[in-house]
Amino acid sequence: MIIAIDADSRDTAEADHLLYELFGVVDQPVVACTHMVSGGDRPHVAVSLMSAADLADDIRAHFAEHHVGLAITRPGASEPELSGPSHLVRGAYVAAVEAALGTAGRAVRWPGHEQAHGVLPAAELRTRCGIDHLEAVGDVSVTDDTLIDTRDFLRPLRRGGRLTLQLQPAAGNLLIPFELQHQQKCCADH
Amino acid sequence: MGHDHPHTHDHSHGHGHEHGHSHEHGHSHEHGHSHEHGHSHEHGHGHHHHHPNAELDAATLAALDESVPDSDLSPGEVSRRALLRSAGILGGTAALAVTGAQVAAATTADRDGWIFRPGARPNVWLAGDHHIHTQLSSDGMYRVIDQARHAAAYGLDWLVITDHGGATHARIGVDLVNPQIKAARSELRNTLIFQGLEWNIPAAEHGTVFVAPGSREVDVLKQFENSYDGSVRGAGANTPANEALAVSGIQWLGQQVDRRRVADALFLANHPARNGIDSPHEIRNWRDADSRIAVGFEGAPGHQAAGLPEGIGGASARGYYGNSPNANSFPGYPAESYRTWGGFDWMTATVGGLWDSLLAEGKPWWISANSDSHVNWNETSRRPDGSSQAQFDRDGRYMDPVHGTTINRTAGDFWPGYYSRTHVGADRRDYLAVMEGLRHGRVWVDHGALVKGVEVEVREVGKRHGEPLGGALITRKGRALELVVRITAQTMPNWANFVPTLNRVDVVQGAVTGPVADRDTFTAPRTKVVRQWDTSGRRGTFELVYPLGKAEAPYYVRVRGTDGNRSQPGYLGAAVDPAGPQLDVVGAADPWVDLWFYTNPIWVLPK
Repeated sequence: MIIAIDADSRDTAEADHLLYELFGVVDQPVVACTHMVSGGDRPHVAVSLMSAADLADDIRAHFAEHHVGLAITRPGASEPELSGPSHLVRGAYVAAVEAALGTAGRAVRWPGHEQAHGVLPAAELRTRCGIDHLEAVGDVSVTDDTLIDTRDFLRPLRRGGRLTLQLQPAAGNLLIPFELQHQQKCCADH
Repeated sequence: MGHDHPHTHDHSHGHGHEHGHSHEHGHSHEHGHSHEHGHSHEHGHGHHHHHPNAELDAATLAALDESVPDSDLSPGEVSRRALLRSAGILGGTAALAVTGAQVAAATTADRDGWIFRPGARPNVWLAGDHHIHTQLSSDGMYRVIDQARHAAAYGLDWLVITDHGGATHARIGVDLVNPQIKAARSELRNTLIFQGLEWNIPAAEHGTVFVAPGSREVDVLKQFENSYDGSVRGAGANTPANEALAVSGIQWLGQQVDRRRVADALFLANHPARNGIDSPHEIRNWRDADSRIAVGFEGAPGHQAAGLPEGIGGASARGYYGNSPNANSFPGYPAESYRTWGGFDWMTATVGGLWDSLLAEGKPWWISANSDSHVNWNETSRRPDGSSQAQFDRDGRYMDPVHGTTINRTAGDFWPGYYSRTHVGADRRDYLAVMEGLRHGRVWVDHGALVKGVEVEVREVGKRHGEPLGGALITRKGRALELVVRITAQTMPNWANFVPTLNRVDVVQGAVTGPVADRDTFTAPRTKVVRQWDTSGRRGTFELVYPLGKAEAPYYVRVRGTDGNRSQPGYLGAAVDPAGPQLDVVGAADPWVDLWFYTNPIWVLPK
């Protein structure tokens, strides 16, 4: 099943935080993604969880007191269960569609995420971490033995049903993830 | 190059699937164009940026729409529908139609037509920096005089103090900085010190706004900040209403000039590609809001020390360009746009990219290069004990810096003039002449004092003088033209104490194709590098001449040069730019071994 939640998260960091909160609630293996909701009134981020288990009761109970958009979909159902404020239901539904199609979304949990530690050669990173494709920005080439420093934080993107990890060059002839854990907030302290 | 854009923004998809949303945005700008060149009709589409269902592509929307029978779908759409049906998602599309107000971006009448300005040969080149912070920024520390004296010592003739807009600055900071600026003006008689601010552009990035000195400089800036700053107004999110507020702010500045409250005002967008939140249509809307006021963006951002390697620097991303897309980012921008290339912003560094797509419209849009100095690399002073965020919020400024006992190797900025320079060709050494020079694009920029002087002109073959930077040469069809680049090689060491060598100069040429149909366009397919000169070993002042052939159709040319240390094929491929700037490497971007200069363009308009 797919459960998508739009809690009006301001950015991906806030959405990640929400997902970590939910991992504590559901305690089941899931594929978890964040989804940009850019088509509504104010851009924000929604999340989705895909699981073989039925997570609906746990999730509903967790958000009982919260104003979130919820889309709960079950295989074969004639329609999804939708609830919450209308502008957030919309984001949840978009996230559910993207999760089902695998066309978009930024993965936070997926089978293999737990192997994403330390420095790995590209081929090993792909097999151990369940990443389908590695792609470096700026036309930098990635061969099987290219060393990749995961920095213990990977956020691969779902595209066409595949998981693609974007990389960038870094000091020491290494590649590192394009998305780093610590983003430079504007006027944070620089 | 096969870049696969995960979120390609598709303007072609059918509005028929948008579930009853009308898009009657009331584009008043579609009327009243001048139609001198037959390109003005097509603007409408570009403003449909806020599709209610921007996230989902046409095929997905079709697959979801159960009023469309399977037989009307393509095989791909049918398989999508099957996937969605098995997931139990079909039947929920009512959710997509639920959005609140889809407010149109209120853009103003686009005073269309090419804007040509007579190019005047400058009498004097004045180096400057329009992006500098002080203790009146919540993330700054220096006094105005600290910044101004260093700027002057490092060779700048003019500077703009641009503390961040925000609640505290709007309440008292904008007032408090003024006496410091006035004192610095009288202390440093030969240095032009403007008061400005760093505007949180509603729905977008930051930008420099500054005015000519005068009795109302504070009044105008303060009123502007309180009315139009994205932080003060809580208008940071990327919404149509906030985009419209930004446009109004630029127009308001123009009105203050019209009413003579200030003698002049300018706006330039800062670090435009850093977070992907300055969409192409927003930049076009600012430009068209009042082209006297909105004149350009940073071709190169500040924070150039940030990529210095571990041991001597912060080992961060050059320019602090290290982020990835987020909710407010324009979905069409590729990952590459979030990094600097040879220290320059991707919009400028990409030949045939966003900047060229603006120039190809035949409208002015200029580049600059600045320090964005907040806390400088290798700083030994610090904020004093007790100078906290709470103290800043209360007093509107941090206390004066004191001598620290350690060295700050990880700070990412250079002093104004130490690395980045914006050279403005001016009639005179005064405030209004600098602003006029900026407005007219008589500007070239460099890093690390790569060259001592650059003069560029386009002239008819056989004529002595032609059109200088920022100008448009209006000529008869069929006249033979040439581009003349007059370089004065550097003889003096820069502030890293070596004499830089200019080893290559490139000419970029692009066709002028008129206003774009899609205002989110960010490529110019008919722009490329047309000439590369090896200039290694050249000394003194020398001329490079590129024959432009006979003038037939309108075009522009611009010039860049480099020490030649770091190059790679351009983002749009080697056929467009065989040896462009290299993607900067996080933690390994020593700015002193990767120096470039860029000039603004000159247009050629055969009639």
